[in-house]
Order: sequence, then C-alpha cells, then structure tokens
Amino acid sequence: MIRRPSTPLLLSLSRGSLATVPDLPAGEQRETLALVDGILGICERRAEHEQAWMLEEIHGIEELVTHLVMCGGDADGALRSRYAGLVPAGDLAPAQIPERYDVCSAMLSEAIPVALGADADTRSMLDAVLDVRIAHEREIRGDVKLVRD
Amino acid sequence: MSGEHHDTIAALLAQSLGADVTVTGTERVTGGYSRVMRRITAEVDGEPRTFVWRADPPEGEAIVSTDRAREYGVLAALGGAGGAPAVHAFDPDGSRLGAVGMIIDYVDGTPLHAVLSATDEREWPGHVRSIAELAARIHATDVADVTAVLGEVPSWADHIDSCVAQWRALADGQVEPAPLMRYVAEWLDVNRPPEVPLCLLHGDLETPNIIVEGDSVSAIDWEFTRIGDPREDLGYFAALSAISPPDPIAGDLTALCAAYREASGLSEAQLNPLTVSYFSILPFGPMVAQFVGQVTDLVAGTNRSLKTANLAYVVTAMAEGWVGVTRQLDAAKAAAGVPTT
Repeated sequence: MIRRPSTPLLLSLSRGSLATVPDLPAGEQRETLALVDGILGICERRAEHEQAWMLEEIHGIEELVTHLVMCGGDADGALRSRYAGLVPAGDLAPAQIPERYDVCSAMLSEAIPVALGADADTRSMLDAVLDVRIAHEREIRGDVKLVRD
Repeated sequence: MSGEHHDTIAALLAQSLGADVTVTGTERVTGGYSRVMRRITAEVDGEPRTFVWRADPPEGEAIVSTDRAREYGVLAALGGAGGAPAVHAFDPDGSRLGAVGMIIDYVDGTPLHAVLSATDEREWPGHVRSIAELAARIHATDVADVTAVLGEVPSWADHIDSCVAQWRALADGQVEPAPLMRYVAEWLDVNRPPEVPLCLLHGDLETPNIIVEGDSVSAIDWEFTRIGDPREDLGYFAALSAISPPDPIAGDLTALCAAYREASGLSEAQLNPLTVSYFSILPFGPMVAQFVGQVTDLVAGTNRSLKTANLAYVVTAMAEGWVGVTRQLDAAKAAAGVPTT
C-alpha cells in the first residue's frame, strides 16, 4: 500500500474542495454540507494525532492508578487486579493501543470515586489526567455546534 | 396539512371553545429539537385568532423523544395559568390529524433571545427579573394539580439520588468507557446543595422558549415538564444562555438569584450562585442519555445520521463545560472555606 499522500492530507484536500462549492442558500443542503465539512475536519485531526494522544493519556492514567495503589487508595484491590498483567505501555504495538486505551479509560472511571476523596496530590493528578483528555477532545472537535431540526 | 384537516381542526376548536370556528390557513413553524408545529389561523365567532398544532415528528426523525400525552396533561391541568399556553384539543393516536399532537393557543409576542438581541444590554437586568418571576410563577403551581399526570412527588433526597443514578447510568452505558461522565456523576453525588421543596418545572427554560409581549412573559414548549428541584430550571437557563448568546446572565447569577429569592421566598443558603450552578449540570443527564443512545445506535449501524455523528462531539463539548463548572465551584467553595471533595 502507499502511505503518501497521508490520510490527513487527503481529508484536508477534500475539505478544500468542499470550500470551493458555491454558497448555497440557507437550508438543509447548506446545513448538510457544513456537517460533512465538520466531520471531515474531525477525521483529519484524529488521523493526525489519535495514536499519540491515546498513548499520552494511557501513560497519565497508569501513573495515577499506580499512585492510588501505592498509597493504599485501592482498598478492594480492583484497580490492582485490573492493572496486573498489562504489558508496559511502551511495549505496545500500534494495533494494541486502542484496546489498551479502553482498558485505561475503564480504570480511570473506577479510580475517579477514590481519587475524588483522596489527598490534594492525588486530586491534582486526577485533574491533570482529565485535563489532557479534555484538551484532546477540544482539539479534535474544533468548533462543532449542535444542529437542531 | 389538507383541507380535510382544516375541517377537523375547526371541529376540535369549536368543541373546546363553544364557538363557530373556521380555519383560514396553516403554516409550518420552524425551531425546537423535536416537534412538528404548524401555526393555525382561524376565525372564532368572526374574530381572528391564532393557534398552534404541536405534534410528534415521523418516527426516527426526532433528536429527543418526549411524551405528548404528558405535555398535554400538564398544560390542561395548568389551564393557561403559570405562564403556559391554554390547550384546546388532543389527538392521542394521530387518527384525527395524522400525528399524535395537540392544539394550543398561539402565544403572541417575541422570543426573549430576539428581544435581548434588539435591546441595549443596560436594559437586560429588567429581563433577568422577569425570567426569575416567570420561573417562580411556574414553580408556585400546586403540585397536586399535576400529580395525576406526573406521578407522586418524591422526597428531595430520592429525587437527587435518581438524577445522580441517571448520570452514573449515562457514564456506564456508553459505547466506550466515559471517565469524564463518571467524574461528573461522582462530583454531583458528593456536592449536593441544601434541600428545597420540589415543584413543577418547565424543564426547557431557555431564551427561545420565553415569549415577551409588553409586560407579559410566558413560557412555551413544555415537552420536558416534570417534577424537580426549582433550581434545575434556573441552572438550565443559565447553562443554555451561556452557550447560546445573547446571555442576559453573562456569567453572574447574583441578580437572577436575588430576584428569584424575592419572588419565591427561598433563603440565600438555599438559592445562591453556587447552588444554582450545581443545577447547571444536574438536569442535563436525561437529555444527554438520549443523545448517547443515538450514538450507540450509530456505532451499532442502526442509525446512519450525520447529525448523530456530530452529536457525539457536541457531547464532548458539554462534558468539558460541566467539568469546568465543577472546578469553578470547588474553587469558590475553597475560597469560602466550605469543605470540597
């Protein structure tokens, strides 16, 4: 397979072509075109960054979970057992990253009630992990708007 | 809508009003999340009047599905009081007019968002007071009048438990783990404000649904009406105004809270910017659950709507906003010496 032009570039070119379509009168067609452009923009940004951003979040979540386990916040051992047996994130093959991201997201969900009631350092770590996720989602969605009927 | 439907509408209105009614025309009204609406012009005993037919859209076309019978039942119980339009007829199975729907009074006036856009910002405090008074008027409805439609009033603690449970279900029921939703659910659980009496809510109090005509202020689109905490309507209004300007609150809930306390008699401990901000998050759980359900259908291949794909990203924007509110409230509480999570 050929890798170049890259997926982000192809998507960017497609959006550029859409931008040359003459202005449509306000209505369903113009709305649909705007939606297609918005979704292509999301695809472009995801194709460019998705794997690196998932890895960044995986590292942050695993650091938080390790901290919680080390400081006794994992009273019932649920986080420890979920974390045990995972290969180091640095050894993941690209195809394994999405699945590991889901595992880490589930661990983060479990860790949140514990971290919310923990000390200030743990809370700061949680906030930092959530902030990274929020920043990635913000970057991906661009200026998406709710489209009403 | 055919001439045959005009005759049916005329007959329904004649029965409701006890008058001679001739329908002279109908036209589609745009706007709203999910309802089909047509403005009906008619002559009632020779005098011109305007009504609205408000009905369910064709199956699968609504972003959010709500219950027309419930909406009709509450409006009928209100009888035009509480800032609500009077209802005249209900077609519970669509056999009369082609879709499940109702005929209600057309509320004359201008939507608040248009009024604000055309008004100098220095006049907005007067509108903020009107919003607070409208909300207090709706919330002062005797709940006994609507329990036949909306069910018995739960305890405040049970109501909040139920709302938090909806948020947890929302976090657990997505197509992939959703830690931001989980965070919001847990934060809502451990940061409950003081209790206040539950009441009838409008449920979708936002500037397009508030109609201003001179000194009169009314509320339309009652499809989300329910029993709840009165601060839900205020927090919802503040949240939607912030994301859909013009925003008469402009990030400062002080004046809205003061006007609402004056109109309702709630104390400052019960109703202040911090407690209302809590409710700028809580009521969105059920709405977002419907959005997320559609995204689940999209991933499963049973929904092929581009709007739904777009919706998935709108939800991430909403989640960012909610997390931001929790941080602001935590900071405000810390500054005030109130223990935080």
